[in-house]
Amino acid sequence: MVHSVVLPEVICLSIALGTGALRRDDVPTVAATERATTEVAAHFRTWLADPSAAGAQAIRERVALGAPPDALVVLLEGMRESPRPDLADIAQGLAGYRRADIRGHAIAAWAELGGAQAERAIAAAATDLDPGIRTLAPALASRHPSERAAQIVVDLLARDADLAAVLEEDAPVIESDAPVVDDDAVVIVEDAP
Amino acid sequence: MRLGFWLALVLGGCAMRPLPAAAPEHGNLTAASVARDGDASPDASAPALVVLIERSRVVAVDPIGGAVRWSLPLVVTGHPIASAQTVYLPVRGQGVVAVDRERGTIRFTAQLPGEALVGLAVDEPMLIATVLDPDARRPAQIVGVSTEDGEVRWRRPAAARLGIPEAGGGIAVVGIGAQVVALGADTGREVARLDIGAPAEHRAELERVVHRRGMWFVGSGTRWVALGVGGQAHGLGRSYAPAFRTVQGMDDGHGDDERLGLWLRWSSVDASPRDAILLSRRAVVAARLDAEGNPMRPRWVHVEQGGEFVAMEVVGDRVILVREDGMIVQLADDDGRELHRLAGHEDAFGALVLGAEPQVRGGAHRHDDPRVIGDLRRLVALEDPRLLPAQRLATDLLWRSEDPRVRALVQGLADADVAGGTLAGGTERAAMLRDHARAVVRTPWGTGSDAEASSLLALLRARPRFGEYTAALEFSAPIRAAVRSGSPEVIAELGRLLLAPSTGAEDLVAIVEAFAILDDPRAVLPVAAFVTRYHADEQIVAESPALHLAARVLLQHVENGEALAVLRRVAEDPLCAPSLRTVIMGGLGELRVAAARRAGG
Repeated sequence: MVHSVVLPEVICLSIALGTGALRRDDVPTVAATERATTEVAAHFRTWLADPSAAGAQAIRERVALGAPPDALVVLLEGMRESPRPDLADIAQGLAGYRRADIRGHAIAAWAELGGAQAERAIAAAATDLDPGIRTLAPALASRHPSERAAQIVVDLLARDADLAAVLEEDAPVIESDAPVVDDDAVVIVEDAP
Repeated sequence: MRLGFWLALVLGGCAMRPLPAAAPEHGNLTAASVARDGDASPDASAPALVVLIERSRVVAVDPIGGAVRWSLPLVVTGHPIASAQTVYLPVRGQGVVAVDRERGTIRFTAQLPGEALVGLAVDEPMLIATVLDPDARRPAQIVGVSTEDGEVRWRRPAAARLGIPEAGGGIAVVGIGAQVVALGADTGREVARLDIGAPAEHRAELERVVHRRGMWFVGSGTRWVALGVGGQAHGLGRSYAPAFRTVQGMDDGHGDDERLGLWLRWSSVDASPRDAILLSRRAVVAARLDAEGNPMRPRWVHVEQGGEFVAMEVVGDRVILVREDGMIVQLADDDGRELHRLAGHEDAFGALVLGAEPQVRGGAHRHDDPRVIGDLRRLVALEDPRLLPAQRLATDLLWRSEDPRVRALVQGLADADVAGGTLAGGTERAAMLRDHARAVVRTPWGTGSDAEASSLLALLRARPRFGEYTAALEFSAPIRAAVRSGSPEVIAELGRLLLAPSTGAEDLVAIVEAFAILDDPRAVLPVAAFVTRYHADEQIVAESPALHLAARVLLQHVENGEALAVLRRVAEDPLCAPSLRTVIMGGLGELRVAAARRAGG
């Protein structure tokens, strides 16, 4: 089976181009005018609740404008809880974010799309340089089992002795519903208006 | 007809036998020439001589001492050639006058068959000529004339037009159709025939055969095929002037087109030229070529003030140039400095410059010689449409500089508003040069070859992935290399690296600094994406100076509406990291002040 690889940086650029965020002749439907991270997070929640294409477009445009990381975590957690195949590009793009915590949330949301998308998310987790992200791979593989996902984990554990040891000693540490590396990042906006 | 002719006819068995336009390949051209008498150059030891072709006479001048060696009242109608002892001058009526090179005495006048001369070659004791004979059943002929007495020894009618021949090592080689044929110079017997291994669209154009440094080439304009070494077609990466001069069917003598030409110094190891000297009327530009035949770096520049050159030849370590007023100018092949200048007396249409073989390689100077760079800049700025080919080459050479400040001149030409008069005069020349610069800035910069650019791209494309790369990838060296030498794809690849999550903070800084130095508008898109994505992330802003530097790169391109729009949007975002906003607002403010100053005079 051949799996095409799209680099996260390419997705990042294509999101920016696709939304017209980097073009001067477009008329964006959203603007980065919120005065607090909680406002951005609230917007994301509102748009996520809108299943229409307009909601997805608003999310895409707001992400392309550059959003605070805590608001991105809210968005990605929402996408993880209610998977949106039409926002797969957002999850993939943010899986290329510089900060590992954002990548972890993005990969978890990506995997929730299931099937081939889950396999690609697991593969991304398994090759991430951050050990915390790599711990996601076995958890996501157990949540979205497939032959390829299992093979990815086998290959990962063969290479990552530390992770293999952790799994050996303390299996409950890795749970399928604990997808983020930095849990603190999630709770900040729980009570946002 | 003399006995010798009949003897040759009988012994050779092929005189008058038609030369087919196409026939099966056979023989070995290289072996045939070497087997006879090697590759001794007839001019190697002869003293230098410039044979000036004037309206109604021919004057031979010693370019070193300035003495007129001899003068003859001849109207020359074609391009003369010479051996070590004799100069052969085509004259009216299909005649060829053989003149003793040293004394100027006429040794004989040969009468060629046919109606018009195509080309001459000499490998004593035979003079080879190709002629057109449109009234005959066969359209062309190749003729062997004895250099002892000027008698025709053999001739071969040809079923197709023949090119300009070359002779050496006892054979005469000429192009016919899509093949080249080697004939024994003494008998005209065919000893080898080769298909020209060139794309079909170029075959018909390859009409001149030349013999250089033991290798045989057939070429035309800026394309050629090295014969007997696999037959691959070669060409100069860029076309400025013909290197293989052709005659458009027949040799009608020296013409205005000879004021534009390219001299190539052939390698002694392969079919690639190493140096080129472009003659463009009153400008002469010498450059080193890369393996693909592209100009790699400048060697020297000479711009003549008083008149145009009608001939150029490299003799030993000198470049000898003949001006339209008969003046002879000599430059050092190594650095272009003027060595000697001899005043002329009569206007010259062209000249045959004779002397020692060119040196094997031109002088190697530093690639960033400020004197040469200055000369190139001045050449580009000259408002003279006749210099356009030289200015194109100068633009290419400036773009191949490893110094981004030098390349900025070419970017400036490409960005110039010709109609607004940013370029001198806003002329058609300026518009053509701007269009050329626009094409050039889309090509690799610096001195690196295409292969080096590819290998640089491969280094920049690598991404550390857990389990695939055990050692940390080193990006700083390729990033630095990209500043010196690279291709437009490198900009895109650096952009991807900038946005890759695995790129280290130090490398981010190096990439943005490289973009700042390269000053390439193609960097705006990835830099804008980088600034946009992370401007509200305090942790990333604090991680390194990369985001601040990236904002400065966008400020550098603020005339680009895209860059300005991103800067404004980011700075107006209430959640933008304060330090980044300060950089942007400060930079935009400075630009506003500078613009106001300019507006106020």
